[in-house]
Amino acid sequence: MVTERELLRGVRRLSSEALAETYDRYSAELYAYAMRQLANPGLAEDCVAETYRRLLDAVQQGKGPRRHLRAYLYRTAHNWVIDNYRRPSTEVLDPANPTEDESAPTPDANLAAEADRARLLVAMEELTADQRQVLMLRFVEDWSLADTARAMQRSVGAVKALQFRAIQALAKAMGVGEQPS
Amino acid sequence: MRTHQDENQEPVVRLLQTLRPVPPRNPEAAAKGRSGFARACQRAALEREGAYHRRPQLRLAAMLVGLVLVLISSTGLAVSASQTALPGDSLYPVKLAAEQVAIALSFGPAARSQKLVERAFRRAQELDLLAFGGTDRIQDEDLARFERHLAAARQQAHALPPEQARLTEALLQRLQAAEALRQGAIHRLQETLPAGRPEHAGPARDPDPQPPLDPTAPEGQEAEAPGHNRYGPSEAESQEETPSDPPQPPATGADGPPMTNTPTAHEPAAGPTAGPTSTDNPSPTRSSAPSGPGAESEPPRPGATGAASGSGNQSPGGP
Repeated sequence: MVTERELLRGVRRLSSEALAETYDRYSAELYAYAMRQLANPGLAEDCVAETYRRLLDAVQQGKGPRRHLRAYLYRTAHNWVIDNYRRPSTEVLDPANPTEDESAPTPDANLAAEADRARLLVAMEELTADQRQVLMLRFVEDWSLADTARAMQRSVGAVKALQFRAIQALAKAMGVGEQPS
Repeated sequence: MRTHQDENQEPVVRLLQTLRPVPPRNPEAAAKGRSGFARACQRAALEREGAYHRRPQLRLAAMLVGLVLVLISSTGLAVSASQTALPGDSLYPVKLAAEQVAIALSFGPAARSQKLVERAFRRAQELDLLAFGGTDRIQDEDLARFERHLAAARQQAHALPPEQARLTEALLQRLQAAEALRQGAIHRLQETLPAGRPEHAGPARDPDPQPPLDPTAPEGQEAEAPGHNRYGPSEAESQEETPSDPPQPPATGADGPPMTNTPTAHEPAAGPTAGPTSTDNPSPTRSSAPSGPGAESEPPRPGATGAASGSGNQSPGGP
């Protein structure tokens, strides 16, 4: 299996094999990343397609990633999500109106978890884009601090500080840790 | 020891981890996305190949531009290098053409007159250089060219308006200097000719010798019959003469060419009395050479300049 660095060299040469390998290797997780935030399969597919189109355009113009291909793709996808995040996706936020991919009947045992998930997504809307990104990469995508820092083009220390503030903000938005009045 | 921060973080992180599972991706949509990306990659590859194919055209355009630049620069170099060319040099026609262009581009009669005078002066300088070299000799056409340019410059100088009288005077003085140069060149050539040099020692540049021209005639108009050399007979004429021919009587002014009939104030009149007559003409021009050991005592043909007599007592006149 070629390394990410070798793959990036092939992509920069517009090698069809390298480009196909890039799509096969990262498109699924990019779809999942977009799907978690957009909760819309069509938009998630659009996000993946647009992410790879932007990569191709950038490489053709002599731009694009220099060292970290995966981080570049996630950053591009994140930017696309930000552009589309304000679109209402009430059907996802409403657990009683599941998406077409969730057509299977939801067990009663999962109803509480779905309610918590919907509440979480609503709370995350109150965070800044950077706070959402750091939480998604660190705790949903399970990225390391270093990878997150590369994807966000920040230092590790800055990512740590951002992560702390994001958790505090999300906890506040969801009422976690608040003393009952 | 657990802090308040940890107590807040754990439930939030656990909640965030609930977002990990996502519905399975639609395989058709995934395949459609992959094929769309593959088509985009093919287009990108084709565009890059198109760029490669355009490169030869770019190279051709660059070569054409380079060729034009080389032509322009070489033309400029040729014109520049021709400025020191002398009659007979390969670049001499370029020099004459450049002069003609400069005259044509001159603005106003005064500027044109100055350029014409300088052209005539350059002709005189060329004659002087040719005579100084010794190895190359002045040819009829060189003298004729000088006379033509001299006449044209003089005519233009006289045509200047009266308010430019000072300029006219200066230009005429310059022309007199040119005539003096010409005269000195002829004189030097006569003196440096080796005794006993056979006639027609050097090949003429032009096998068809040009006749000298009447300086008073318009430019380009020949005033003398072909085959007649003011400084001696033409090659054909010389060949017709034989040593057995009786010596010709001293030439009279009437036999001379027009130039000697109309000497300027600074030009000594060619004298038929400069020396004894001879059938051979020690003309300094390439078309005729001194013949025989008696060349020193033999005068030039009628009409030749006084310098050809070898007496050296005739000043070239003028400054």
